[in-house]
Formats: sequence, structure tokens, C-alpha cells
Amino acid sequence: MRRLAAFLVLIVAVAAGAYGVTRYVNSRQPPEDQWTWLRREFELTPAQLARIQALHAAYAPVCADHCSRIMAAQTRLTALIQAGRQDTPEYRAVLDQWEAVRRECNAATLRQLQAVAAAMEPAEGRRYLAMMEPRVATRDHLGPLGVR
Amino acid sequence: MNDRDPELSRVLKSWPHQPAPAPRFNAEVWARIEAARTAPWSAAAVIARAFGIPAQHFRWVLPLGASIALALAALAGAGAGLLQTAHARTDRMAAAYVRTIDPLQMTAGPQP
Repeated sequence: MRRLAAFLVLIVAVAAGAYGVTRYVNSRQPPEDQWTWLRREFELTPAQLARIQALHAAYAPVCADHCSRIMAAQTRLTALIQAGRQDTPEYRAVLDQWEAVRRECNAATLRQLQAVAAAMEPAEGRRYLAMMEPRVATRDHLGPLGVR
Repeated sequence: MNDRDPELSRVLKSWPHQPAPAPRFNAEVWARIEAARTAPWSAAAVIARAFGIPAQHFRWVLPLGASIALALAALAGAGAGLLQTAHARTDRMAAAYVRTIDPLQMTAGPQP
């Protein structure tokens, strides 16, 4: 019975060791390039990858515009807070502006995801959306100056 | 029962018993004794017997079973490690990818 118990301990130790070594070896591999990962993960053809890269390139200026508008609103909000003017109509107006930009950004990001998904095979596109959309939607908990 | 039954005595005397020739009888008996002595009395031996594996083979049934169990444990551990690493990498890459197209995440700074 003791030999059986010792053997079971050995089995668990071997399994745990193999698990640990595999995780360690894999964690030391260099991170993949974003496009390499996207192509491999969603089995993109060269044509699909080129189409998606073009979509991203077209979206980059829109994204940059949204970024600058968000940062401008955040800067104004920070300045108003530092001046102790949080209860003023001006602060509420900038906050409303920030909220409008946030909604616009969210909608644009989701549209971009759907456009990219449409460039993939239907099944892969659905998997892509299922993987990416929750990561955008979870940003609803953000406030203008950090976590709400 | 009567031990002095003349009829029984007559039948017993007339019973011709001629065992089949077994030139290796002695050696085989000692081989079985040796196998039984060295074979571990274990679940493996019982299972092996249930499958009709002779007793003299018990000595390799147990090490073989143990080796297979260890190999399976190593495979299961490595498989779980690979799956979890792949899952974690996909999660990390997807989060990084969304950060490149979501202005809210870009302006919120690096994520934990």
C-alpha cells in the first residue's frame, strides 16, 4: 500500500514537472508579431491579410483623431478639477463632451472589428468578433480620468 | 464407508494409471514456484491473471504498467501546459491587438 502511495506521488510529481517545464519553455519564446499572430490564429489567406491591413491603415487616422479628442477632454477635465470647478456647468459640459466622444469611439471601434471580421472566412470572423468585442465592451467601466 | 471393502480393493488394484510422460515436469514445477515467489501480489498481478497473462510474466507486467502510467502522466502534464500556454498567449495577443484599435484603451495607459 505504501509503495502504491509512493507511486501515486511520483505520478503527480511527473505530471506537475512536465507541466512546469512546458510552461517555462513556452514562456521563454519571443512574443509574436501582431500580424503573424492574426494570420495564424484566424487562418488568413495572404489576400485576407492584405485586406485587413488596408482596413487598419484606413482606420489609423480615425483612431488618432479619437485619441486626440479624448485626451483634449481629459486635459480640460483635469484642469477644471485642479481649479476646484467640479460643480460648474463648464465641467458638466466637458464631461458630456467626453461621454459623447467615448460613445463615438466605442461605436467606431466596434465597426472596425466588424469590418475586419467581414474580411475573414465566416466562421473565423464570428470567432474573431467573439474574442474581440468583449474586450472593447468591458471598457465601459472607464471614467474620463481612469477607473470609475 | 468400509475401508476393507473387497470389491473396492479389487477395483483399485485393477486401475491402471499411466501418467503422460513429462520430461520437464521438475523444471516446470520449479519455474512456477520461482515465478510465484518473485511475482508481486498486487493489483497488477490480479489484473494480469484476469487477462490470462501467466504468473511468470508478472515480473514485467508491473514495471511495464508503471512505465506506461508515468509516460501518460508526463504527456498529460505537458499537454495541459501547452494548452494553458496557448490559451494565455491568445488572450495576451488579443488584448494587445484590441489596444491598437481602441482609442479609449490607448489613452487609458497600459493595462494590467
